[in-house]
Amino acid sequence: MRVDRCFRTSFYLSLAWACACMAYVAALDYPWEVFLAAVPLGLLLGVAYLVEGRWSLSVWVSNVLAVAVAALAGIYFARYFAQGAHRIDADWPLRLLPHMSFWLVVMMVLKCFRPKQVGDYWVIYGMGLLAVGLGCLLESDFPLGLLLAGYAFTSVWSLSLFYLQREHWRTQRPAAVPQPSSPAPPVPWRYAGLGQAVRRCLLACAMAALLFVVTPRHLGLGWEENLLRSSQMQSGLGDSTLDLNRTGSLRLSQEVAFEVDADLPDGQPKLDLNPEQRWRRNILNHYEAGRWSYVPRGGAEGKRNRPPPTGDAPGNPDGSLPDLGDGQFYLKYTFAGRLRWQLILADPLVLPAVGSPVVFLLDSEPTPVPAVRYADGELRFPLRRRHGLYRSYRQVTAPLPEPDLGPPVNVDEGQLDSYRLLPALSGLRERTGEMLNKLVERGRLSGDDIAVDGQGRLPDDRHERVARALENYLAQSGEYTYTLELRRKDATVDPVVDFLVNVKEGHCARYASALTAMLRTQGVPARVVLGFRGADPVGDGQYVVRQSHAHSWVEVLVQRPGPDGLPRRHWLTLDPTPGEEVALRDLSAWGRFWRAVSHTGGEFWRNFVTDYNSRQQEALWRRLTTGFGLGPAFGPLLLGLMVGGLLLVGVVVWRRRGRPVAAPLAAAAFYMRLLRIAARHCRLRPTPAQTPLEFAAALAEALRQRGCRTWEDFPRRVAELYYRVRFAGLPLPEAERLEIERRLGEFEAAVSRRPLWSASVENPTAAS
Amino acid sequence: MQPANGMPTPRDSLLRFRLPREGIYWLFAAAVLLLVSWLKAINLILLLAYLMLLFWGINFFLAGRRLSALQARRRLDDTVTAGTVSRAEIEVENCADAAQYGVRFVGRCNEQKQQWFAARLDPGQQFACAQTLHWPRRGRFVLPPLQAVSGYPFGLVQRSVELGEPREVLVLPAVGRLDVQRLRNFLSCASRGDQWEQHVARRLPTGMAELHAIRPYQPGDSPRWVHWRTTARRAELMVREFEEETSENLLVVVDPWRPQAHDNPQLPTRSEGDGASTFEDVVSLAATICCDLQRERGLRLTLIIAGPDPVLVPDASSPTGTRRSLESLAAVESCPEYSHCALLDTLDGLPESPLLVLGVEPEGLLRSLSGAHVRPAAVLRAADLDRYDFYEKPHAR
Repeated sequence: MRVDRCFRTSFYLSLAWACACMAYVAALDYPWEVFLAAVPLGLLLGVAYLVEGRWSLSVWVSNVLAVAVAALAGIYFARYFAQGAHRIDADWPLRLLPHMSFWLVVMMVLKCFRPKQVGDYWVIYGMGLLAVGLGCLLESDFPLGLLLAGYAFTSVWSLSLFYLQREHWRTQRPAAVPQPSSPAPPVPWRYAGLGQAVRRCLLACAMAALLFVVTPRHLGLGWEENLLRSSQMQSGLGDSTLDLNRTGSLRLSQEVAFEVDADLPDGQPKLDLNPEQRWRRNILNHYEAGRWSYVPRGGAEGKRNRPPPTGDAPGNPDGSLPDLGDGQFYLKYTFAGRLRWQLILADPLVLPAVGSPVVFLLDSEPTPVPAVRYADGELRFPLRRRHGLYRSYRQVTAPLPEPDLGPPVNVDEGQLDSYRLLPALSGLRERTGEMLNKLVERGRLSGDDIAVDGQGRLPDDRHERVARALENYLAQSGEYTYTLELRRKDATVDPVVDFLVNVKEGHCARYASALTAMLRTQGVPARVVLGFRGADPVGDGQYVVRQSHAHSWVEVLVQRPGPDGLPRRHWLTLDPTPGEEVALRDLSAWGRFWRAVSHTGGEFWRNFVTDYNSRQQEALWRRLTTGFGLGPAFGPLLLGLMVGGLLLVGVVVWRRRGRPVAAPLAAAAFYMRLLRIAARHCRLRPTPAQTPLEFAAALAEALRQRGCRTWEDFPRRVAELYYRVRFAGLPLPEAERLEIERRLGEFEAAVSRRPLWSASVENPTAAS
Repeated sequence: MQPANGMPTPRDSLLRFRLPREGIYWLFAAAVLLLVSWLKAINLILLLAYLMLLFWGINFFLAGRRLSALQARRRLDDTVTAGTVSRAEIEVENCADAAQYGVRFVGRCNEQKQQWFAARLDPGQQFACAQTLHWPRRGRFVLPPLQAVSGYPFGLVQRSVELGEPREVLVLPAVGRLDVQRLRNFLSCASRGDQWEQHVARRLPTGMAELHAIRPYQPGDSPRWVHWRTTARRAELMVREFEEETSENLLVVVDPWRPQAHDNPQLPTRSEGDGASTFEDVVSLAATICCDLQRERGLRLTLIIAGPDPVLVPDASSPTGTRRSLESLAAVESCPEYSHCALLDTLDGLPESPLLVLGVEPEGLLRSLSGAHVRPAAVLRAADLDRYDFYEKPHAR
């Protein structure tokens, strides 16, 4: 295959891969739009490939098209800003990034239809690189990483062929304008150079990975946290509301929401934190038009006061946290980002007595500030602007006999009504009734359990049973499945009703909302809780909670008899979200295998690429030093090896830079020439045990057989001369050297059966 | 055509490194991406930047790694004449033990550049090409060695090495065409026949001339002089050289003086270029006389190139003498005023012969000759060359 054709193929393949990277990123938000645009643009790219060198756009047509594209882009962006729709809420001009990609690809495809010189090819390469860079700015998941690897491979392949092509153009004419009629040389590698490209790409990727891992990182926010802080279509807690009207694909953000240091009272790290530990942030008690929000009711219980010190403990240095008895442990929360006025606490809250703070704000001056308990059982810091946006506080907690049951609360009737309040949602009560009847049919509930009073409310002693049954139905029945693809079927009904009746799939927010709404229809006080579930241990009692751990669940107000036998109200935690194992049940063995592989790959990608930061680096370093048992010496040793290696490479390169190139055995070059002539024209090479004179005798015999008797004696003369120069150390005079070279030229002409001074060819050839 | 041998010599060529424009832009883009991605903690862009840097590094390592193992041979024509185009046959051999890719060869000559490209050179493989050499002027030129350039595999880094040594090329003057008989007639008329006709040649037929020696063939030799037996034995064309009695003598004196450009308004306007071109005509005429009269048996030509240090070629009509004459004429430079004493001393040492003076405006020389009682048989001035029917300038062909 010729270089020009192979280069053209590789060039367009590289472009197509760059467009694919960009299309993948854009498709996450605008799948249909990308599909509608990708088909014609892909076809245009294919047409450009086919007509390359045979047809091109004229100057005025391309100018008109460029103006038209610019005008369309202007209209598009004007409309975009006029609508006020923002995918990202970062500052200008970052808001434009998701929308620039399409226009960049359009310009790139249009440019492919113009005649191209070397500079034009570089510009198009640059545009492809820009498209890939934009993609990397907007997304960083594992599939994009695979696309990036593919782009790197096609680019390496294409650049190698581009070098050959432009060198060939350079020798054709100074302007390097490609001429279709110019015969390009064949591709000098096997398989069109794909093997070489793979090897170089792998080598570069391996070294880039090493450099990437050891590059020092500064302490700062990750790019995603800065740029893509959107609660709409990304997991994580954005604002304090829950909007069920939004649809689309929810992406799991791996950004760290906060870090927790868990310590035991003796100061040792707590390494066995519950992997399903919940962290509550705020509750939502008001539902309207598909949105949950919080409407405060009731005030703080008692005044803020500091209890007497309860004794020193390493996790309680100032002695301000109460002693909760056996099993207690301390949690210190640290936020890299800015947490606005919200407390995130381990759930359930352990409140030993009214007025005893279990949480203290640490980075306020001059003394730690305790949180205040509110009537609904929540803890909040007093809203003081001077506290600003805090980053660190401490909580003491202990395991409860019943992990899902919170402490007793004093909720008045007014607050109770707020937790029963629900707008009239058409179809919700009916659907709830159907579900309850099904539960009765299956024996999970009895008929008495679901009997309501005159106000349509369930008796207080039935709340827990019914709530647990409904929770179990949503989570385990199989009728509802978990997905991150949020969609609506009937936009005329409430999102909760649509979910329960039509869609029957969603994520935790939908399930929590549905259970809360259903319970409220039965008069059961319930509320939605926003927070996190789970934590990733990083060692030494440190845990990180990511945005992907964001979760919603339900709290139901139930009655339990107290120590004195009187009923007391508690918030019972319910989690109606089905686990992944429910979804996996429907997968085949290959599906489960693929899911496991992609999950593992995704984890690795997340830990070592997208979320790799100074903390990860430190943890990896720690793992290496302890793993190899080198201790503190590992760092200096590795650094020394790297620095030494770099210095060595630098010295070698520097010395090779200006080193005179000595001709190998210049004095005996004539003998080497004889060997080459013999190898090429007589197919005769000296064997390892053959001396030069013996080889000369063999060559003489070969010449006799070829009929070149006049040259029989020549090899022996050359061998004797070689002995004289090489072993006797006698220098070869210049005149004799010239003479022997001249004779070698005659000898070569004689054995190749061609005249000595043949007419040279016009075009450069490689004489075989 | 006697080829000149371009044999490889031990060279001290340096492997030169150069960063082309593409490489500069590439490094700049990679550095910008690296800096921005590190500052903003964009990990994928950081990876991309490292990949770009490493690709450049791979190019830096691979580019021109084995260029030093290339050996080049260049064969030039032994005789090169001004105003002509000659060819140099180049053979480059890859003496490395591995193939080389993407090597460009650059041959330069008089600010002209020719390039060839070899996509692949296997070990031991030869690459042949022909370099077209333009020689617009006579004189000594240095032909730079062939340069091998490689930026394999991406062209972001370039290394080059010179193959071979610079070659000095002596470009002989352009030769026109001379009608010898008409020149004889002109000389006879000019000298009124008294000197010239005394020296009528008695030519001997070739077959009766004594064999003097056998020498290699030179351009201009008659095919009838080929000595076939020696040729077969030596596998090289060999011709007979005869010993002849010459009875015609001609002394040609070339005056290198030429007018210089001046600002004197009283003198006729002259330009530097006019003077140079007419001097070249004189040199071409002298070369033509030496070449064409060489074939005239029985004519003994002596060439003197006047100047501060005159150059005497006593046997300019012999093949070697013709060669020497041409080489001397190739190197002659015009000069302003110079002393004619050395020339007169040279003339004194020569046997009396008809004198032919060539020059742009040899009036000064003629005055000196007149003062020494030397009367030239004829004077050929550059301005009058177009009027002479015995001479055709080189460019008029």
